[in-house]
Amino acid sequence: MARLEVDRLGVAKVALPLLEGVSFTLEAGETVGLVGESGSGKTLTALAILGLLPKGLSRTDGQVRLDGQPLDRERARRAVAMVLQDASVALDPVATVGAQLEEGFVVHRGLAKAQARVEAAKLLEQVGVSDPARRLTQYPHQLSGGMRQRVLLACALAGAPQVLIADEPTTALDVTVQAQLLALLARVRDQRGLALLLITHDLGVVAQACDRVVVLYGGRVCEVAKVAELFDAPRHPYTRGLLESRPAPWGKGAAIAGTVPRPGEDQAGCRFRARCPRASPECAQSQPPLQGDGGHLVACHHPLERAP
Amino acid sequence: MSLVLEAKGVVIDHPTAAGRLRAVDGVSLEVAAGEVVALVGESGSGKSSLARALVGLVPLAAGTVSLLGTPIPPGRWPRAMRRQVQLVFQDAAAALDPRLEVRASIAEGLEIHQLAQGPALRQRVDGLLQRVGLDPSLGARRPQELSAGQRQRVGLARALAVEPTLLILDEPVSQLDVSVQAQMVALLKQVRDPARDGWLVITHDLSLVAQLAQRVLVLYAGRVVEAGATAQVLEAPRHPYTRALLASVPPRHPRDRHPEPPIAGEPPSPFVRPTGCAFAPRCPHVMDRCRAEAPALVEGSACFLGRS
Repeated sequence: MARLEVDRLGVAKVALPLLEGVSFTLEAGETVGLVGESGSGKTLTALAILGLLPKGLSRTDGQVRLDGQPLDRERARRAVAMVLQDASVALDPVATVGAQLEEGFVVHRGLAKAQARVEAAKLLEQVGVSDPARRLTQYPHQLSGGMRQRVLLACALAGAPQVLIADEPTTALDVTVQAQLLALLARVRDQRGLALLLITHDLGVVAQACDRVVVLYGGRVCEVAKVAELFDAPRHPYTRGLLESRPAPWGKGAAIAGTVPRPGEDQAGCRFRARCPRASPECAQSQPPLQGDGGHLVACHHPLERAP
Repeated sequence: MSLVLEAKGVVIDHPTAAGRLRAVDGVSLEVAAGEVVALVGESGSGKSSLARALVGLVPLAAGTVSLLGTPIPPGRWPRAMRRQVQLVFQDAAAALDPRLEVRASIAEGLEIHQLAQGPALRQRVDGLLQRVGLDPSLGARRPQELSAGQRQRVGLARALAVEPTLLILDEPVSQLDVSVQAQMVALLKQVRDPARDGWLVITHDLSLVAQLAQRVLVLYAGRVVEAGATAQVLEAPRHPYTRALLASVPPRHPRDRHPEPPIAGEPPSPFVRPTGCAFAPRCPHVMDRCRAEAPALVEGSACFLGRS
């Protein structure tokens, strides 16, 4: 049984579908990359898992399960934690690191204040923050970007979650610090047996850090594969386009013509068809189901050949 | 070849509540007509401060900047000189006036510098829109009605309108999705007049450097640590920081993963720069001398390694 199971999840803004039939699983100890461009529904998927959809949006379909049991908002609060992209926004600028970190221990674990402080210092040390006792008394603006991101990770871990969602955790960081943070996420995942959902638009981050990948396009899953298989033999034309749009020597620097459809646009059939070199009339008529075997799934009427 | 830009010993200080922050500490650089020079650095390297100083948005604390051989006087620039340098901002959404139709935004510079009016102005703006790959009908839209890629094109058209001799591009593709970045890079290559235009590209993205620039300067903590031809710097980096930076770029394929983060630590705080080489605290080759004295840029590398 998967640790986390997202099953045919649908989210809409009134009648406008934003996520449709999003399904994937996440095992304990595994890092799954949720990949897509802006507007593809990456962050929305995370918020829907947490039961924290913004006002005006509602879940229209599907279910999220944790260890086989439906995940409601109350359970999600304890079992699922999220690290946001920009730690300078996610942390309270007028509260010390200690105050923010200890809160997690008090609220989630029912510890007394003094005990919470001891645990907070231990946790900071685990996420590679030097001089933790002093850091607890500092304010977020006194920390570097990399340190803030580590503190934010510590805040997420304070409640001892089973699932960690990291939303573009390294986008605001420099590459030298990004490499350090990705290594830290992997270490924390292994130590705690976390299921890690890594949301990113950066295929380099995927190559470095993920075991499996879920590719989103226009609010739908278009491909799911093991990371090496995805890079070696992508089956969805969009995935291949993404890989090839990376500049040489990473890809071919070949842009995908056109832009991502707006919500409501190209809703019938395949949402990628307007930009797809393989599109046929069928692609406008019916939505391709997500199917395949060996864990490699693709939602395409004309998928690329499998690897030999 | 004539120099479009010549900056010598530029020092930039920002007054802050916590004291003086030295963002740029003695940087010299030249851009020749027809040349694309890249300024590479991570956050806090001083690259954006330098860009802003070169268009007169922040004052120099020391040093000189000359455009086409004429030194820029301190204080407000003469109008004719302002036209010679244009900056394309990283975030076109913030740089464009949200209340103006993009046509008016593009026309603004032409009107201020009295380069065109009436029907000729309209024609010029249509021509500029087409030059950046936009249909002239989009001129009637406001920035928020355009995609991020279209907005970035408008920002480019606005800068190109007054036919500057020096164009400064600050992170021109970093806000765009991968599939759109390649389109923008292709456009940049296409609009440049290689006989005349001098470009300074400011970025943290080494793949962009490889695609656009003939020469590159690597900035660390407000100083140039390495300079040279792009191919030479990217393929045979000499400064330990440049090597760490290149090694930290995420892998192109999962099989090339970094087993460990290539380098620990973060760039120094701009308030407390180490004496000596600013990279010394992170450098794997650090020697006593590096902590005492800052190495000058000699033959393209500011490092004592291998020097007698």
